[in-house]
Amino acid sequence: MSPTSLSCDACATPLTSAFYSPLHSRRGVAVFVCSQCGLTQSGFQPYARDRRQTLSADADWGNVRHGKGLRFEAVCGLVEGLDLSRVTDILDVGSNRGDFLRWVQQRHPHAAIWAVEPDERIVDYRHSPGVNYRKGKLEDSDLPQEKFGFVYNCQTLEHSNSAVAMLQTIWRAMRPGALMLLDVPNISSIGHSDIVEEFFIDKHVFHFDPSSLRRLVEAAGFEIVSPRGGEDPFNITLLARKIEMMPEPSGYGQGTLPLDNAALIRAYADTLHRNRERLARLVETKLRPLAKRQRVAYWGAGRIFDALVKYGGLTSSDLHLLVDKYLAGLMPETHGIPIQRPETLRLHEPQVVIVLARSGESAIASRAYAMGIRHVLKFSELLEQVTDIAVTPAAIDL
Amino acid sequence: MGTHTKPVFIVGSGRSGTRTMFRMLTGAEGLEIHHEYLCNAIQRIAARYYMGLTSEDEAKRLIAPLHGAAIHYASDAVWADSSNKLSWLIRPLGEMFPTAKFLAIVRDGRKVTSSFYYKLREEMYDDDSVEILRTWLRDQVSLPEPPPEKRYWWNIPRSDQFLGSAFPNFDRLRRVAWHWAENCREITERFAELPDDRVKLVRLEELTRDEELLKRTIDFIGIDYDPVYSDYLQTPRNVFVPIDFQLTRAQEAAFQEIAGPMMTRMGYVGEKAYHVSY
Repeated sequence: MSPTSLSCDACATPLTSAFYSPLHSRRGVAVFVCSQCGLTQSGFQPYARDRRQTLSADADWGNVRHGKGLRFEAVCGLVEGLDLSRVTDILDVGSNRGDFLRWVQQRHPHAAIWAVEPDERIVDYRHSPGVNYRKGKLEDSDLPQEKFGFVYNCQTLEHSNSAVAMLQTIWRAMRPGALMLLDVPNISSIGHSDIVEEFFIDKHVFHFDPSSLRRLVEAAGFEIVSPRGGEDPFNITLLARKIEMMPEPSGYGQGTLPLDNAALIRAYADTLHRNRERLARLVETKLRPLAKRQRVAYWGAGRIFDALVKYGGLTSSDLHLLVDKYLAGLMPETHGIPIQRPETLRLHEPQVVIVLARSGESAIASRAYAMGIRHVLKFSELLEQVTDIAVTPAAIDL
Repeated sequence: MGTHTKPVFIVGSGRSGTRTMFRMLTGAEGLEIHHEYLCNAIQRIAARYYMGLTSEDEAKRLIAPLHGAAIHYASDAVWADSSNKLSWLIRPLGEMFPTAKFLAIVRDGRKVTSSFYYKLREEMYDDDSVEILRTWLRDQVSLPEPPPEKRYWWNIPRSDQFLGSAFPNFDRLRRVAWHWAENCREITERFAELPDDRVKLVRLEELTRDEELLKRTIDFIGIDYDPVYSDYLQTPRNVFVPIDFQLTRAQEAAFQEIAGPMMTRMGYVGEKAYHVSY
């Protein structure tokens, strides 16, 4: 796919001028907003696919393959609330490391699970009882028609070459009245004032806002049963039911969405640039002096940590310990610093834990307190201290 | 009470220098000093008293075997306790101990608020603990009283108390700001009821800069001055996390809405929030 010949996946309007190009993209990503329907999608230069693992804060982040595990923890409650007792066939789209699959196996052992996943390296369930593993992307899979009573589609739609085509494929494979749990990153989160990580990563083709996602899903023949929102500004989660007749694609009215999304992206580019400049000040004035006085552990070895190192100049001497529940075991180190399990906090007894996370920030902070850490600082609040304080350095030293 | 032992209660909002005073003076000749003496018990008594659940007589009865007994068996000339919890008990303490003196350490409310807010997230007015206390206040018959653990016993005002109607809608930052303002009000109003020679209110910022004021303060406590005290105050003490947190613009606005008038009353009008060098 080339940016010069790109058209909107939803309404086929030609996408002619890119709004934004992220740093360090291996694929020459250019981000477009459809002038007709407002859907935001990326175009790419031809590239050689690689599966190199990086924890980069930039567009080249990817292949760690831990995001779905994180998200499953978040949406698990929603799935638990569904009555799947009579569902005999379940489709797991982008089954990844099998977090959802294993959960289903435990609770609904009677159900057969079709697991579609292109990355064989992380698949250890291909021979599990009841699992029908299909290597590849969903769009390329030969799925039976009207078979599945439930579809788990978590953090996958944004990776597809065509979101419309993927939803149509799923629709055909679902039984009438069946449910799909859909979960995708929310582009609205780029409006946050503390963002330091590139949102438009090489791996994502589509960047949904709640309105454009809802329209796309409804146009593909679903009714939204349970939209969720508010509690997690970083993701959109919804339950959609297949309705009897697949309607003709229509209803992509212009509205203000194209302008809103374009403005959002422009503001984001400016905020990201400024915040990354501020990271150096954060390290210099807050984090480094802190590490000279106290044993400091960082909880979160992912993209925020990478930004602190890459743009803030944080070094291994500025921290005592780096822990991450998900990345420990998947990545031995980042920037030469070992990534350890959070349980090792007990061994090292840091005086302060700094939480580097987004939607999980409060949960991690609570966990750290529960482990006996008395002083827990959140990245979002620390960044505020170099971006949004009420006063300039003044007068009295105490 | 020991015949010659005089009690001194060092009060304040917390994060205002009360513990610093304890650390600075501990071991001084003729002084037995504590910080938050029997805190779990006293904090519960103080909160119940403030919230109208414990009468003044009952408060005195509960304090007698705690501070009362400790002062009775003390052997030094001065027995002191520095504790923000005692701020709410000035009236009963003043009556129980007629020779007691009260020293209030007041600090810029913005620094107190940011310190509590960022550095004692789980211990002071956290959402869960406030909700537990609030729920129990509504139903004291069928629910057990929250245990005497620090995090549960931060005052919740009745509707007829300062910002009592608005308080249920306060977020944590606003609750902390309210605490500072209400603590200052309580101290100043109770001090006004006592003779001048029994009370002294100083601002921490001035205490660190003005050695003469420090000398007068030490003299008020009733012990000898040592120049090392002045040196001691030149470095921030009792530092949980050596990061100087400032209020954000939005937080400052929320703080001023609640505590602005008290800031003026306490003499912080027109002053910028200062930075702390660790």
